[in-house]
Amino acid sequence: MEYQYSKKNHFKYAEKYQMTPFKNKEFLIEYKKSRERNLHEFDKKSDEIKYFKDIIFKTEKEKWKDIKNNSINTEKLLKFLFIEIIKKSEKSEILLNKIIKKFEIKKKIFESYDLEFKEKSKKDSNLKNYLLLSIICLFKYQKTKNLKFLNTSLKINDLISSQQQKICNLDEISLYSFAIKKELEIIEIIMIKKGVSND
Amino acid sequence: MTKIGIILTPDTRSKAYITKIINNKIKIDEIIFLDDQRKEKKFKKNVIEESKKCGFDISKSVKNIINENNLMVKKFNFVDINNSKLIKYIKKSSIEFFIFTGGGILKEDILNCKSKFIHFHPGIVPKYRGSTCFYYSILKENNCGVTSFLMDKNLDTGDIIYQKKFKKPSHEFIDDVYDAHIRSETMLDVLNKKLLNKKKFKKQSKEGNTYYIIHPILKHIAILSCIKNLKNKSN
Repeated sequence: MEYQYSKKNHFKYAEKYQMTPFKNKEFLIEYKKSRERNLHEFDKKSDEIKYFKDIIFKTEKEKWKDIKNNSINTEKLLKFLFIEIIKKSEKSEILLNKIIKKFEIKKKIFESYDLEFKEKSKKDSNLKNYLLLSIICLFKYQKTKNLKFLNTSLKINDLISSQQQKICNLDEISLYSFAIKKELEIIEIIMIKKGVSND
Repeated sequence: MTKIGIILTPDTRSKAYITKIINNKIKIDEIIFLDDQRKEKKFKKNVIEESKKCGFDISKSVKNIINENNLMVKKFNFVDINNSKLIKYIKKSSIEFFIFTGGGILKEDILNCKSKFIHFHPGIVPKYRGSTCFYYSILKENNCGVTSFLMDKNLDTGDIIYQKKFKKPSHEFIDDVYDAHIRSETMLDVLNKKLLNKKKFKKQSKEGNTYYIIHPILKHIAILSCIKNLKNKSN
């Protein structure tokens, strides 16, 4: 058995996750192995994975909304949400829910939206956007214990894992490594809590 | 008397709904069958056995159930609830409430009909709106719930008729059996208690949570948490 959800290219063949089959406990073991293999690949790529704090300090707040041009710059918006979540602010909940909804429906994050959150750009392959949203969702889950956020992050992490050969720069490698480690840690806690741990 | 109808589609939920209506001798004023002649899914023996324990036979098609019981039905060769032919038909109907077994959002045209549409959603709203809520509820609350509501233009936001909680299942066939079972049991309560005659429905709070289709990792943890005691017993 293999963990198949990060194997195919999600940009070419979007994974809808409808009626996914139940494959018993081995599936969870394979998932963990698959994620750990990915982490190991990145360890080989770079032995200088940055600490999370070193990445976030570089992330500056920028103007993400352009009312005159009816446009939202997604990367800037996600950086804004990222900083808000680090600051433990609850102001941006509506914005976060909107971008999560867009991802859950289209299974993609576009580089720009209009102010009504309709796609403005056809470009959807900026991995930084996926990494940022995944980590935002993981932090949000840790804060609220709302599984909706963890669910979105798991899907995004499958998508990013399917593109791991394209993750090259150190910031992205470090964000990916952080996201996967955090995801595995959270899943392990839930498994223990629900009495289905592998140990 | 309030006139009640049901709109069936060729799926598991409809099998459970119509079987329980027949077995409980509940009077339904009109049956509409939206049948796109799709090839029906085949089920393994253990799934069929579990469905029978839950009061319906998943291996029997809706078409067969209708034929075996000589039910009078109005048929359409599509499953889209928003199809203009169906809307035209319903506009002339004297049915006050249609139970709709399928999913999706009703568009303005069908919502403008005199008839109201009832949905049985597998989650206690407003806390659990959206998709595959039973899994989220198992993970979070260790149980599940169903809400019966009048469908409106948004997703799972309509006025509440009735809510019922269920123990989590002790088997793994949640998508195929448990979902259809808890929805159809809630339908029986609504019909047996004649809740539609009372026409007392509760507005939903705007606050709430919308969930999206569950990731297989969370789904596996939810199912394993349901069957872990069985596994321990059998070891």
